Amino acid sequence: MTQKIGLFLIFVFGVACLLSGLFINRINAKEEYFFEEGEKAVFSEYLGYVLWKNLSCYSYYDFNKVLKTLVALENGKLQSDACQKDSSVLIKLLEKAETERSKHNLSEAETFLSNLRGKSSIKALKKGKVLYEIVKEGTGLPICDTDFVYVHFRELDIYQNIFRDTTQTSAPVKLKLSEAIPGLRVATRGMLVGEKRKIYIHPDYGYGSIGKNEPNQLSIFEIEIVSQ
Amino acid sequence: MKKILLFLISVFCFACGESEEKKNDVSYALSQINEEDKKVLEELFRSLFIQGPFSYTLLDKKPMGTIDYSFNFAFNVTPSKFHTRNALIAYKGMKVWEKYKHLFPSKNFYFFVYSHQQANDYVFGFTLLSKPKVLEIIKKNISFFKDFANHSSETPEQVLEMLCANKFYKFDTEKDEKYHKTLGLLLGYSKESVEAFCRIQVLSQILTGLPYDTSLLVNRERYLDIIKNTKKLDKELLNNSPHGNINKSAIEEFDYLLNHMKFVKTTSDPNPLFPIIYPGYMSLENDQDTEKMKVSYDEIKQKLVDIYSSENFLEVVLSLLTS
Repeated sequence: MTQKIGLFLIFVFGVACLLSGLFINRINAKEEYFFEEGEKAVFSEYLGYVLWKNLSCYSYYDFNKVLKTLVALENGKLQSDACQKDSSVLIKLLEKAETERSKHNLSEAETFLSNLRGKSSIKALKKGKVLYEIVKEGTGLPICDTDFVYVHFRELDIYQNIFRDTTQTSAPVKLKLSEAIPGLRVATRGMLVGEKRKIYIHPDYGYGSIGKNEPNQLSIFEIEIVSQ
Repeated sequence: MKKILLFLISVFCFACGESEEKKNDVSYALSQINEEDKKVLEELFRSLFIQGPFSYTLLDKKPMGTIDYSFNFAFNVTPSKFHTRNALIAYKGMKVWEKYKHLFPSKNFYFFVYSHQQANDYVFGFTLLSKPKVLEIIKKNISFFKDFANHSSETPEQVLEMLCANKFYKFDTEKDEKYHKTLGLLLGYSKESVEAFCRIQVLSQILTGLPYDTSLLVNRERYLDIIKNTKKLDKELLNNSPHGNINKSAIEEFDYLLNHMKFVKTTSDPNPLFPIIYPGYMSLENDQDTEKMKVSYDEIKQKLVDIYSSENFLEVVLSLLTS
């Protein structure tokens, strides 16, 4: 008797699996026949990369929960517009994440600067919130920040990842340093033509809590005055 | 001589007193706001300020600047950290601003928050309008704006009031050439470039769905991109085409415009270290008004950086808004 009940339950479970596979929650399920199997595999891999590109913008998620949600959406157990109904919840969560990220970045920036301050090669400005070191001495005339100068610069983050690098182009960039963020302006004062400095800027004298790439980011610049 | 000197000194003192009084108004208004809300407002205005349309309008270069966000794009579609962060700041800030905006009345600016449901999306944003500069634009193009306002008897000042009160007829933004022209002029773009841009919109609609040979177009891919997003042909537009029956010259004109309009930043000296995003628009090559605009906009770059760097940033910006 127990065996018969067991077999019956397996049969029901099998039918349920089969039926759930039929309810694919897509806009145009018929289009899956446009591709042959091999082509479908390649395209599916591509979609995986696209989804990953979105996911990798965040690091505070449960991957298993993401997969479960995808399976439920695919099987029609969840509707795709359910997310929009809970938008106020999403906004609160995103705000919390941004606030935490901002606090973390500020703390990291302050620790980084504090560790640097003791070094003999480091000069401090703005109560230690702007630091610089001379990487290469200059021999030319001192620059005036309201005049145009030709520079090469690299902009880095706290992990030394490079965001921008003008040395990749052949020509130096013509600009006025007085139009830059306050930390950069103050740390390049008195630079000589030919001089190169590495400058570390607290967000209070950089891009602030809005940030450029990250809120409350520490800004690091390597800047060389090529000519004026 | 002594009397003239005394008179000049008293005028000077009065002027200083006036501006000091204005600053005190803003200081007093800010003192009515709790610290948490003040922080939200500071972030909101910093976020708006670094986006060129707002700051260049505040310093009287642009007649109007708008910054808007699509809820879907900012939070649901492809997140760009910078865009999402600013959208969050704007979303939170607009609610706080609505609470306190009555403390910062402005005679010269019209600053408003808008939000509305649009298909499956929620759009929200800010518009800053410099009344004197917009009035200048209206006066220079008075017949167009009267037609736009659907009232031939209104004065430029009355048209401005209607604009601020949002009392214009609704139009289909995809088809209406007037919408693009109005927006282009109010945003301070050069008239020649605005007209060229509008002409592209008209031609793309005229040329859609017609049996023509796309191999005649030099920039075929870009054209195909545009027509993908354009609705079906409007017979009225077809009949009003300056070329009469559509022929090769419409295609040539369209091709010419596509190849000679480029996105330009309104600066002669793009400084990669400048913390404010340069405003920009689609301009015809060698448009002299665009070149003049670049020089004019560059005059305020230093002032923008000084405001950006100021310790009492919120007070400075709100003082400018209410000046």
